[in-house]
Amino acid sequence: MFETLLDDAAQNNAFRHIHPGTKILLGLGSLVICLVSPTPVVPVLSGLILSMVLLVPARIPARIYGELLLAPVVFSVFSIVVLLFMLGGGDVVWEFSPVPWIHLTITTNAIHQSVLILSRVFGCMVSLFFIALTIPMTDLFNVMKRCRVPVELIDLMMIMYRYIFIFYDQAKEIWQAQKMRLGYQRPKESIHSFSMLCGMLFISSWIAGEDIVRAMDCRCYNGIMPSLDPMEPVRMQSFIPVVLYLSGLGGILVAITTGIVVFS
Amino acid sequence: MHIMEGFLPWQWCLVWWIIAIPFIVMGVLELRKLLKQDREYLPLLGVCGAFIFILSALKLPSVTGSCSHPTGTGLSVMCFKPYITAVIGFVVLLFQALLLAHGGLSTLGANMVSMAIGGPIVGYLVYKLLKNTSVNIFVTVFCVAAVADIITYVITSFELAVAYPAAVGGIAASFGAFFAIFAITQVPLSILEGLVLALVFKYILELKPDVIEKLGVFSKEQIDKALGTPDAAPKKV
Repeated sequence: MFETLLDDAAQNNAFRHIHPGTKILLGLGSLVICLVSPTPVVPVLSGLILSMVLLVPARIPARIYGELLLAPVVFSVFSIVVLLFMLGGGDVVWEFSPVPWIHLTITTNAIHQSVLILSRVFGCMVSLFFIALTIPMTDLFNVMKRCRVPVELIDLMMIMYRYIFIFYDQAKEIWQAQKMRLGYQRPKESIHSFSMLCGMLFISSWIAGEDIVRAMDCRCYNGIMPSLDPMEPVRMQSFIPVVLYLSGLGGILVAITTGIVVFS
Repeated sequence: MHIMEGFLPWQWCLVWWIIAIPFIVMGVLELRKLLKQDREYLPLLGVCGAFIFILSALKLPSVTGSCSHPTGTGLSVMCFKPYITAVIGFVVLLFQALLLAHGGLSTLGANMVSMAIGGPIVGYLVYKLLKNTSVNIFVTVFCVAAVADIITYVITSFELAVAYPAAVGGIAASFGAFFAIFAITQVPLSILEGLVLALVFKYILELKPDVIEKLGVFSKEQIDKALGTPDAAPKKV
């Protein structure tokens, strides 16, 4: 019924006290390198290395990480099946005609492309996991503030972030109460129960909004929410490995695309 | 249905980001204007945004076997108009990427175009079209939510099709294939979401009709007519 939030992992990992800029550089850097890579080698390599980094030095629980890796499987399987039959070029590997007027073929080029896309998804996903699992949202807000993101947008994000957890717990409570009173027993009834849950959640969120306006007025709210920005300093022992890793990855990418190293 | 991180080639990621950014900018400008008029707007918008995030993190009761999430964009666009919805959608999608690992950062632009911009705009047109007719407001809500959802899948299929055109038949063939495969699960789901949102609206109207009135989604007469209780005071909770 409920999705797991990754916030706990982001708050409780061993990389918590590294400067967020360093972690963003690593996450976004490897994301971009994996995205532009024309060969599957670079994203797979980057994905494997970053996974090891997340599991061993950052001490992300293996169970959470495993569940995360399995999440995009449905979408990728659906889409890759379509792509395998859609893309063409090269020799025909496999032909299939379920009915005379539908003619499905898989070609070598389609297989190459699909492998590349799958590996790119893997590499990019792991880079995203790195950002999601090691940088708490509050640190990201501070980074955004320094990057001159409009203050209204950041305030909106902060309020949303704050209330997500409150509503999450509330939704869980309502759901448990409904289950105890025999809600969600039949398909039709579960639609009713679910709508009731959402409706109540909307009303209670509206009331929470009115309360927060009153509470902020009491504290002289003038449209801007000042907040403390306790940023960790950039430390060389974390910054230099990140730069070395990214330049290594970039180097491999350049070597493969220019044909210095050939993987067959 | 989010396009996941890394699925689109980088050129297309860039294209969708470039299309999405003007909408965020317009949304932020609009937000700034509204805040000048009424500074209570931001906290209310914030909690509604959080509500929409939670809505999208709940799994709909599974009917077709696949689990899916309501998008909530229909509700948002009726309450807050398309530009503000684009901003809320941007934040919700960013949080989904960072807190739930749904979607991604490189594909955020593409997901925004389908879920926070395209779907809501068409939903809003449907809402505008039906609002002042004699159509029952629950039917209106159902249509807005279902249409916004279906348009979202149409745009997602289109985004995938232009990135990966078919060898035979080009973009059109690959669009057909992607949409056909999504339609199996997503068309029933959008009808389901329409039903759910219409019921949600009914519960809100029964218990707290002043919210809907304050946001100007429907007029008092329409609400009274739909509830069938003219001049009746809202029930006490």
